[in-house]
Formats: sequence, structure tokens, C-alpha cells
Amino acid sequence: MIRLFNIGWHTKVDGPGNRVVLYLQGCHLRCPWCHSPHSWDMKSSPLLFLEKKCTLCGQCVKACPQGVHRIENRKHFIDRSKCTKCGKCITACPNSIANSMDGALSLPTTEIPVEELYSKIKPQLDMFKRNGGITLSGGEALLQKEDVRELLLLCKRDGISTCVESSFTLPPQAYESVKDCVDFWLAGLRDTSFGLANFRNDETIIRNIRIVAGHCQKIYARYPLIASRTTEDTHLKRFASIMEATGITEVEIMRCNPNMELFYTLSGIPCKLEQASSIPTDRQFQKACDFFESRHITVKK
Amino acid sequence: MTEFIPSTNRVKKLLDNLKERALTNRSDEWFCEEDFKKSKEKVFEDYGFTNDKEYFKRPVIERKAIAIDIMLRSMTDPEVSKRTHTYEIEDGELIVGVMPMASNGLGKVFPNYLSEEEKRAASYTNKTELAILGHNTVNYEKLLSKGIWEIREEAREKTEQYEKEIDSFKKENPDFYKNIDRMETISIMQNSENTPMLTRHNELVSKREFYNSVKISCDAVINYMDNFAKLAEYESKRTDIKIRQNELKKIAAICNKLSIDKPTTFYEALQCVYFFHLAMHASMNLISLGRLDQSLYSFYKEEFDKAPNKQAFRAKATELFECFIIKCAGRLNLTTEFLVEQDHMDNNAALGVHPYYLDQRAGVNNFLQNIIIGGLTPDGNDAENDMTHIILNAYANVNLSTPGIYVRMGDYSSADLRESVAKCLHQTKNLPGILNDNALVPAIHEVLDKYETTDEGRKKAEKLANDYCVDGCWEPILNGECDWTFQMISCLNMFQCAINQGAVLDTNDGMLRGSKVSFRSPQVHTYKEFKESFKKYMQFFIDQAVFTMYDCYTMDEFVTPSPLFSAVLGQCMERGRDKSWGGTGMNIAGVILTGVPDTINIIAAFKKFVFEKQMYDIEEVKTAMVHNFKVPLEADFQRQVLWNQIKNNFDYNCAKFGDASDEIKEIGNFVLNSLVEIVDKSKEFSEKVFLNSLKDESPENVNLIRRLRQIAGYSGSCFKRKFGNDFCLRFTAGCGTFEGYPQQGLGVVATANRGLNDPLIANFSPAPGSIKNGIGNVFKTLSQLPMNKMSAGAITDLCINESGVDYTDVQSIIDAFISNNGCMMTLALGDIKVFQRMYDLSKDLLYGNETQKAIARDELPKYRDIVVRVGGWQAPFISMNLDQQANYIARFVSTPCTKEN
Repeated sequence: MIRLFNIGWHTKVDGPGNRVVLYLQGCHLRCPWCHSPHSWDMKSSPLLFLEKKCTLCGQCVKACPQGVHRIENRKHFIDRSKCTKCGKCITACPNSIANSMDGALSLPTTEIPVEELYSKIKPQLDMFKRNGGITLSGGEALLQKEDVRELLLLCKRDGISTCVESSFTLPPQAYESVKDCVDFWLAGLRDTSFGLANFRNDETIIRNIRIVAGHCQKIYARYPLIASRTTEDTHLKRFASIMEATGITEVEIMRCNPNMELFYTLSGIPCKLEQASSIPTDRQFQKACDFFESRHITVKK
Repeated sequence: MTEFIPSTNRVKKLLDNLKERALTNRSDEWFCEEDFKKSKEKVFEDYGFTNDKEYFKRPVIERKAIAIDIMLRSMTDPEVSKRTHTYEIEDGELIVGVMPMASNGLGKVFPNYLSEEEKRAASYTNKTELAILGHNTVNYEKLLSKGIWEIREEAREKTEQYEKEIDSFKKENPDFYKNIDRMETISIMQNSENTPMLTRHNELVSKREFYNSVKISCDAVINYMDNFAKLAEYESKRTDIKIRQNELKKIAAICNKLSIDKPTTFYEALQCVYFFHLAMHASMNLISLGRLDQSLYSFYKEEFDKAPNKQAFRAKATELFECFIIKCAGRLNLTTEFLVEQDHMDNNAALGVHPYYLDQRAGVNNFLQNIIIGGLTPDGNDAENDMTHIILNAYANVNLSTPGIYVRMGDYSSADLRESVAKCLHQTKNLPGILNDNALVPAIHEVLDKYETTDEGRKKAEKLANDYCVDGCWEPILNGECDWTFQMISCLNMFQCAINQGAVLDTNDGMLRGSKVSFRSPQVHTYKEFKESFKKYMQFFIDQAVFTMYDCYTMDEFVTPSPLFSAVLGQCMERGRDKSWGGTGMNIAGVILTGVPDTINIIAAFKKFVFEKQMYDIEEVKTAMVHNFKVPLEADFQRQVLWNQIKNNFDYNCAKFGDASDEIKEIGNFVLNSLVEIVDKSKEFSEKVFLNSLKDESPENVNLIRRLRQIAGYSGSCFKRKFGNDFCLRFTAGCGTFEGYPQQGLGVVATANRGLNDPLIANFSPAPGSIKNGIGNVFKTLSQLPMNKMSAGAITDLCINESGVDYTDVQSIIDAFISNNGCMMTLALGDIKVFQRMYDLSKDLLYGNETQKAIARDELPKYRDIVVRVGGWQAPFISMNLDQQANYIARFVSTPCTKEN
């Protein structure tokens, strides 16, 4: 069974060509600029609540056996510490949709057999087989390495291009287990010292990248550009050093997501960054581009 | 693939002129009765009529032919043309002739040819002179191989032959002719079953009248071509520009040649097709242009092979074809401000007996003209040729909403064609539509084959299926070989009857249970009971449709005969019969269900929540649907919460058409297989009632069949006697709404994913906004359904955001559609923000203050090139009504995530 919290049915930004992207549940890094904090928990997302869709009808209050929901003074309060994620409130809510984040209440994480998931996405994968494929993202996709491998093998069996996004900070076995069935890697390299994992050993990242490098068609590096966090030369230099050590020649600079705070609000997880001050200026972006280009690294724009 | 070459400056100028003209008030260009006066006098003089009374003594078919003559003469009357602009050659034009204003939405104007008494009688069935279906194509191979003159000569010879036969018959049967008038009366009273002498007499006379009418109408076209030859010669003398002078002289020479001979060059063939097409449209048969890459190819190839500079010849052919497209699109209206002034529609019932009922605004720029390219040859080989690519190139450059273009594709299609089609679609953002031969050829073949009993017949059926094309919408027809009619039936009515004991849910509580449109049945409680009930109602409505098509066929002959059309359609010339009199040899009749995706969605919701989970009481759900899920009393808060929950579950928490779920597979197969099965049953029953002679039947059956005919409102003789021994209606089955989905939703209670009175889902597509699992799963849904039984077609209209989509993506989508056995598809690419802006401006133009109107007038023309699909055809977005525009905006799906968005 593989756990995922979303599917991007058609994207052109997560790997070459047209991709179906699976966002897998669970992440060990918890970067403060992450815009998917609901992906952190290894098992499932917390209950998400979109206040503007709530009509305060109280059906969730009646349906919930744990007393998670409370409506007072025309305001809906949620105590997630009591929530067992049974989904009864979602079923009862007239403004929520099962397996969708479009409604007032949602539990986006789905646990599904790999074969079943594959059969669900296969029509879309088949359609873009010629100029695209699948990308496994997250969270940290390889935290579910056995299921990921099973899924990737199904794709390879059917001639579908595969791509995995990873921070390359997991134990080497994770990369060894899938290296023969991944065509492209998105190396989501980052200065993780701001994350919970406190991971500082660049050698591990370099070693992991080297494990997969000889087996895939290409590795693209991705650099999160967060104002006041990753815009300084020290960060850029460290990042470029990893690229040079592993022979990665192309980088995509990812500006801080302008909707970063959304899922913190929906999930009740506190956001440690202030969104407005985290978005880099054009000047900072250009500076990063110039930096990489001066090191003969191609910047994908 | 060969790269597309760009348009020449000539084409660009002609295109600009057309669009400029289309933005003005064109109401003055329409013909009026007064315009026919002078030509009518001249024609009456030529035919020796001294007054209307003498004209109305002639058979209807001859009157129609004479009216065609009056029409075409009026079109080349210089005085009339000052207003209608129908006798002009525009600077730079290479293809000449001007179609009179008309359209599927705005109506047609034609000289009156029915007598007052005929019109009064026709009021009972809403048949008028405008009640002519069009929706077909002619046999262009025949036209081009013979030329109009040879067809005219054939008709003349046959007329003379039948004159002689009638004379001989008269001499051989003098006693019969003494009582001919009385015999006719008797024959009608006795259904002609036992009057062989009169039958023979009628046949001889009818054939003479038919051939004479063909001759008259061909003469009218020949005269028209002569007039344009004269105009071209005149214009050539007026210009000082040598190049243009030579062009005009060449045009004159071509027009002169076509009036006495068949075409021999590509240019002549194209002009010949246009002249005939124009004459068909001028005589109100708004029809398609058929498989032009096939009919024109031999002319093109012969010259191409000989051409010293092949590239230049190919470029010239492309330019000529672009000029041809622009001519065919000459009646465009790109502003909506003057449409009421141009509304020339009457109560005509081209199908059945109900007055004209169509979203006229959506059909303003529909002329029921398509071009079909690609596909298979009759022998089953890939028909792609260089002309296929030239036509695609021309469309990529010109990108007009009319004529529409479809490409037939299948597993056999070359990589070259796939790429060219994708590039054309990516460039035009909406053309061509895709017809999947993998599904359509077997579907059509199966229908035709079941009527054949010999090897030769079966072989012919196979060839006809391989050679199919579509009419001016998307209904499959046999290329130049068949007559075609159809009936549309509401699938949602079948659903409502099944859950509501034969009544359609009605917001008027005075109707108690609802509007009683069918028999009363017991209330259903389980899904199994529902399905049984649904099939019974489907049988009821399909029987109605099939009987209507048989019954209505008998009316056309005396209201809307088509001698010019019949000259090049099917076996009409060989049989000496008009298409309205069993002439074609092949009659296709489509049973088309509307609202099938809506029905599948609401069945899925009922199946899950009412029948299986039993979460909701059926009566409560019906009440909620009637009230649009809004409780009548605001204070009834708890009930409103329940209805909200029902609506939410119906809209979002159950299977949807297009999601490739097992539920949709089961329900979709149930609906479509029932359709095919029941059409077959209705066919058999209708044949028993209408078709066969009674002479070999037992006395018991004779009485039964006569009784059944009377009950069905028909008292004539069997159709085989009337229209020939091999006559029958070959019934096809399909799903679609055409452009009618907004109107078809009016009066329909709320269902899954739509509110009360909201439009139905267009054609055979997923509900707007319901594609959550990618287009790939829409195609998988189609692969799970019996699309290769949809012989009357089922078209899926998709609209995707153009941002980040390149032509290889389009090619992937087309390939996936084909390999998943989809039937027909249109794909539009657009920018939702631009569409929203056009909607806002269109709204301002209608309801805004003077300042807003002025801004809208100024800005809307900027969007004149944005063309979208409206169900049956393409239309400029800015010419559509607000309902259609809003519905279209809601359809955008599968926005690829890109850096920009």
C-alpha cells in the first residue's frame, strides 16, 4: 500500500515533458519554507479545514464521536488532537467531497495498493508516453521505497518514463533500491540546517547522487530560493559544490511559493516563516542565476 | 511532414476584407421577395406562364426547379446585386460566385413555390419551403467526372425518353386514359395497392417530371456560370493591372468552360465544386462539401506530375484552396448587434412536425458545410494524399469557423498526418475535428451489412462504410450516396419516467406527479427495477422517433423536393427519382439520444445513494430535484441541510462520466447497449408496419398491419410500393446534443452536476468542471463503452487551457483518443482569462450603458479570430450568446501546471 496526498494529473514543471506527479505522504526534513506541511506526517495528513466553505450547519459536530468539532458564536473550532481521522465529519458535511481538498473538510491522504494506483493513472501516463511520464514527489517519495520501486517497475514494464524527486538525504539503500528504474532525478538539494533533521553532511548527499548517477538519463538540481534563508553566497556556494562534485550541470531555481502559508492555515500546523518576507526579490533571483551561470551551471528558467 | 507554407498577401487581404464585412450590419444583403420580381417575370416568359395560376399547375418538383432558376437569376441581377452584392467579383478573388445570405440560425430566403392551399395544408405538419434538411453531401466525384453540362444532357435525354414512353403507354391504353382523373381519385382511396396501370402511369409521369426538373435546375446553374463568365470578362477590361487582367480572363474562361464541359484542371475542379455548392445553398440545401481531398486529388495530381516547378504548383494550389474557404465563409456575421434584423426563420419543421426549435444564435454562423479529409478509400486503403495536407495547410492559415473540417483517422494513419493534424490544431486552436475510423467504420458497416443478403451487397456495404463522411454537423452519412434524416430523443426523459412512473418531473405543482409523457408504471425500488423500467421507456420514445421518421418521409416529396441535389446524389439519376421519392437507394435515419452523459451521471448518483446505500428516500430526492435543491420554506433548515448533502453527494461523491470508474462502465454500457438493441427492435416493428407489401401476408396479418398503420396515423400503401422495392430506412444510433444543450436543459429539473434549467452537457462529453483525473481517463471511459456501435456518432468536445501546450501534446491527446476507440472528438485550446473578457464585453454590449457598449464595440473585434466548438459546429466565440459563452468557460479542463500558472 502506498500513501499519497495528491496527484498532479498534468504538469510541465516536475520533470521533462508532460508528467503525472504523485505527491507521496511523509517527509523527514520539514523545511520551514515547505508549502506542503500536511505531507510531513508519515502516515497521513491532519484534517484540513477550509473555513470559507463551511456553512456552520453543525453536521460535523453531530457526526464526530470524538468531539473534534465545535461551533460557537458562529465560528467553527477544531481540536485536531482528538481527531482519529475516521472521516465521519466529511461524509456528514454537505460541503465536503470525499478524497478531495476542494471541500470544507478533507483528509487528503489516500492509502492504496500500488497496482490499483497504477491502473488509475495509467490512462493519463499512456497519453503522454511519447513526451512525458511519471514523477514521484512528496514529501520525500523514497521514504516508501518498496512501494515506490514496485510502482516504478510497473512503469518501466510499460515503457513509461520515470522521474523521482528526492533530497538525497536518506540512507543509501533507498537509492540503491530504485536506481535501476528511474530515468530522471530531481535533486531537491537544500540547506537543511533550518529543518528538523538538522542534516549537515553534504558527503551523504554526494554519495547518494553518485549511486544513481550512472543509471539515469539526467539529474536536474532544484534550489529553493528563500529570502533571508538561502539567498546568501554561503548557501549558493555549498549547493554549487555539491553539483560540481556530482556532475550535475542544470539547476532550477525555485522561488518561495507565494501560497506557502495556505496548507499551514488549513492543517493548523504553525508556520515558522513569514510568507511576505520569504519571497525573494527579482534582484536576489538574478543574483542566484548569475552565480550559477558564473560556475558554468545552466539555469533552467 | 511537409512544413506548412504561409498565406499569400492576396489571401490575407481577402480574409481581412471578409472579417471587416462580417463586423458590419449585413441585414441589407439579404434577399427579399421583391428582389425576385424581375427574374420571375423573365423565367415565366421563358416557360410560357402568363400568370401564377399556370405556374402552380405544374408539379411541385418542377416548380422547385423553376424557383431555383429564379433564385440564381436574381443573384446575378446587377440591380439586385447593388444591395445583395451577389453579382460581384472582389479584387484579388480567384474563385468566383457569391452565396446569398442564409444560415442555419438565421434562416433562408427563396422564391415561393408552394400554392396557398399547399401552404395551408402544410400548416398541419409545420412543413414550409424552408423545411428542407440539408445535412448531407453530394457525390462530388460524379459531378467532377461529368460536369454539370453532361448531367443536364442526361436529364434532357431521359425527359425526352419518358415523354415518348408516356405517349406509347397512352396509345396502348386509350381506355385507361379516358378515366385517368377518376382513377387517380380511386387510387388514393384504395391506397394504390390494386391499380397497376395507374402505378405505371404515375411512375412514367413522375420520372419525366423528375428529369425535366433536373434539366431546368442544371440549366439555371449553367446560366449562372455564364453570367459570371461575362462579369469576369467585363471586370478584366476595367482593370489596368495586367496580372489581374489575366487572372480575370482565366476566371472567365473557366466559367465558360464549366458551363459546357467537365473540369480537367485542379482550378476548374475547385471552381466547379464551388459553383455547385453555391447553387445547393442558394436553393436552401445547406450541405457539406464531402471528402474534397479525395474528389480533387486526381485533378491535382495530374497537373502536379507535369508541373515543372512542383513547389510553386503546390503553393498555388494551397492559395486557391484558401480562396475557396474564404468564399465558402462569405456569409459570416461577427457582430451580434444586427442579428434580429437578419432573422428570416419561420415555423419550418425540417425534422418531424414540430416548428423550428434551435438555438438560432448558436447557428448564426453555421451553414452546415464541412470538409472531410483523410480516412480510407472505399477499398479500405489509407486515403491520405497530398491534397489532405494542402487542405490542412490552408485551414492552418485561414482558420475560419466555416466550413468546418474533420479529419478521419485511425490506427492506420501515418505519422506524417498525425503530426500535420496536431500542428494545424495547435495553430488554429480548434480545427480539425477528429473522426475515429477505428470506431466509426465498423459501426456504420454493421448497420449497412445487416440489410444485405448477397456477397455483392455485403461488399458494397463495406465500401460505403469505408467511404463515409459527415454532414454539416457531425452525423455520419454515406459519401454522396444516401438521404439522411434523424430524430433526437431526450435520455433524461427516459430516466425521469423510470423513476417517476412515466412522468417528467415538473416545477409546476399543478401537474401533480409531473408531466405525463408516457405510460404509467409501478414505482421502482431497486436498481434492477429501475433498469427494467428505463428500457421500457426507451422503447416507447424510440418507437415514437422511428415511426415519425417513416411517417415524415412521405411528406417531403410534396413540399421540399430537391431536383438539383438529386442530380448528383446516390442512385437518383439512375432511378429517375428525387431523393424525397426513394431515389437515393440508401436512406439513413439516425436515432440520437440527447443528454446521455447527464443521464449516466444521475443514474450513478441514484444507484449509489438511493438504490444501494439507501441513504435517501426516492420521493425526497425527486422533490429536491424539482426544487433545485432549495427548500421552498427558508425556515426548514434541517431539510435544506439534507438537500445540500444530497446535492453535494450527487455532484461530487459518486462516479462521473469520464472518470473511467467501473460504475460508469456498467451504466454507460447499459444505456448505450440498450439504445442499440432497442433501435433494432423499433426498426423491425416499423418495417412490419410501414415497409412491406401486404400481398404475401396472411389475411390475419393484412388486417393487423392495416390496423397498425391506421393507429400510427398512416393510411397509404406500403413504402416499398411507393418508393421502390429496395426502399427502407437504415437506422443508426448515436448520442449528442448539437448546439442545443442550453435549450435542451430548459424545463429540466436539477440533476447531478447541473441545476434546474441549466444547460445539458454538450454532446458526449464529461460535465463541465468534472474532469478531475486527467483527459486520459476520459478516453479510457470511451474505451470501456461500445463506441463501435455508435453508427450515428457520439462526439466528445474537450477544451483545454493553451498555456504550456505544444503541438506534440496535442498529438498525444489525439493519439490517445484514437487508440482508446473514441468515436469523434473536438479539441479547443484557449485562455480562460481571454474567454472571460470576451464574455464580459459581450454582456456589456447587450446590457451595458452607452460607455460600456462603446468599449465593447471597440474591443470585441480584437477577438474575432477566436473560434470554438458549440456542439454541432465551430463558431466565433464573440458571436455566441451569453449562455453558450458561460457554458464554454466552465468547460476548461486539465490546465497543465506550468511556470506561468
